[in-house]
Amino acid sequence: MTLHILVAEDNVFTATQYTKVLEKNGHIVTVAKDGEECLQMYERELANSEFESIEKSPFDVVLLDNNMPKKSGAEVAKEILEKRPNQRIIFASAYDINSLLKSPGKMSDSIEVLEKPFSLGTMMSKIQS
Amino acid sequence: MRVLLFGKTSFKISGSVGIIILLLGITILFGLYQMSKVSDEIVTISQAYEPLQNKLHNIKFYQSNQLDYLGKIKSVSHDSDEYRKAVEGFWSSSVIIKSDIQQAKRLAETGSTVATTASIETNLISTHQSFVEIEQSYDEIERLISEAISSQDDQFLLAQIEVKNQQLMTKIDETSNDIKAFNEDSVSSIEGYEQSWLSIQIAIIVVVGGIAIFLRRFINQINTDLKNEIQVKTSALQEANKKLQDLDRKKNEFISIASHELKSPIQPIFGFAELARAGDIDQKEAWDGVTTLAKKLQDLTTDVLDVTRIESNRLSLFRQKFFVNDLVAETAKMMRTGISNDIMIIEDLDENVEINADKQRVEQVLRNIITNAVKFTSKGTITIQTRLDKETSELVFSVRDSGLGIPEEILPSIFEKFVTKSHGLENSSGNGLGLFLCKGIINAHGGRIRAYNNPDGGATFEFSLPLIQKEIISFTN
Repeated sequence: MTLHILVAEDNVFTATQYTKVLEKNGHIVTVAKDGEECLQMYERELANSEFESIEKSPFDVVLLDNNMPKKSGAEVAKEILEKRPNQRIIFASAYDINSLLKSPGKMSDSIEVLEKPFSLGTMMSKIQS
Repeated sequence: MRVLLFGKTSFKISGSVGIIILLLGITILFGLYQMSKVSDEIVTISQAYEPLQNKLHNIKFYQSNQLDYLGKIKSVSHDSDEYRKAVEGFWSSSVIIKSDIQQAKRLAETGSTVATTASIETNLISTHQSFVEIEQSYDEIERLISEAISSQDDQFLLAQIEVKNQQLMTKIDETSNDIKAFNEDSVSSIEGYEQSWLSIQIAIIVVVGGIAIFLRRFINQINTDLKNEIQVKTSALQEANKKLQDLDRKKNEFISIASHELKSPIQPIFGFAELARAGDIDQKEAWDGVTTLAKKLQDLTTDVLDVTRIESNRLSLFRQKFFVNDLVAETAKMMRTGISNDIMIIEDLDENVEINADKQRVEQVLRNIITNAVKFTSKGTITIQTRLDKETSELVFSVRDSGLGIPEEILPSIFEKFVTKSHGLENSSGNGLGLFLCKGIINAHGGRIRAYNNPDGGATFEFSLPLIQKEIISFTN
């Protein structure tokens, strides 16, 4: 099954590695280098896909690094969930997982967490699960 | 020192109060002593003068008696009972008069030896003298009277007696008046003495009151000073506390940023290893990536170490002579690689002078400032300028960008440690040490660094380095 994945990651090396592994497994990858760009890409894709279905999310998975320039992963996730409450989001974060989960309010069920550092294999199985 | 001041103040207050109480006590005791002394003296004096007056009265009384007896003696016959009685009376009153005079003399004499003041002593001595005169004059009268009694032809004697008696009476009255005057004199002089002491006491009380009022003001002043001092101290402490809290917050921020910076290269390092093992990328790519990431970690640790060195003034410079424009050109070239095409880095250079500085450190500063400029300029130009200031013999570098500028609230503290936030962006690409290090490095060279916003947008960072002395420049030329 081919998944359409939006990756938001400011570290160029990490972003390249994600892309390499995901594309090798036959998925389509879009990369954003900061929080703002990630939201722009999401909105653009949302506008494109609205003709097909109102319920359907524009991406199968959004892989979010929490610590990014301009907008943090948590802020991006909040805005995405306002548009598509059922959007599947995977957080990849190096720190602050606990405070992230505690605030703000309760996190949606569609959010999963990958604690850095993780192996690319772990990431693959999480995304494909 | 502050604690000592508190101690001193309480000492001052208790000392002052003690002095007031002591002075008041002394005044009151002295007053009481004076009062009792004065009344004692008045009693003594009246006691001393009264018996003398009594004696004078007695003498006068018996003297007039004697004259009566003399009349009788002369008028009645010598064998009659009356004549015998009159003679007896005459001689007995003579004895009383003599003894009274003696007693009065003794009293005056004794009084003069125990007199408390010189004037009383003089008065008593003159009183004594008066009694001596009375005695002499009485003795003469007595002699004349006894002659008159025994002789038959006594008209002449009687006339003489009359005259002498008149003189004696006058003398007695004079003495009595003198004593009266002395008594009044003494009492009034004692009263005057008492008056003057009263004024002295009033003066002492007024002075003590004045001291008390002054001390009150003084203590009030101390109190106000203390209050002010406590206020100043409190606000200073509050300020210090605020600064500490601020520093603590910045430190926490730094720790969270630093730990992120330390952790973030770990993920891609694992990634490279995993990809290389699986054969998804070739080994060279993996090694290059790992090396770059390790370099990033090294930079962070170097920065932290440099901060420690700057803070303890142990930053050592390895000075060497180099041409400034070459360094700027090299750095600019290096900075141009890997940045967006929307950003242009322009050089605007003055005369290519040689300076004596730590080349790597200066390059570090330049790179750091240019990196910042790039970070906050998404599109535009960054101008690196050098300018020779011959007046201050400095070389001034400036890096001007056309980016977002520096937020006003950050500007005053921009060269402090851990200042990272700007424009409300969560910017993870700075560890908050860069500009602190720049300032430390430039200051170590004896130069100055500052930052300001351009009127037409963007920010400018400016730093100066001292030029080599003129002699050396001309020598190299």
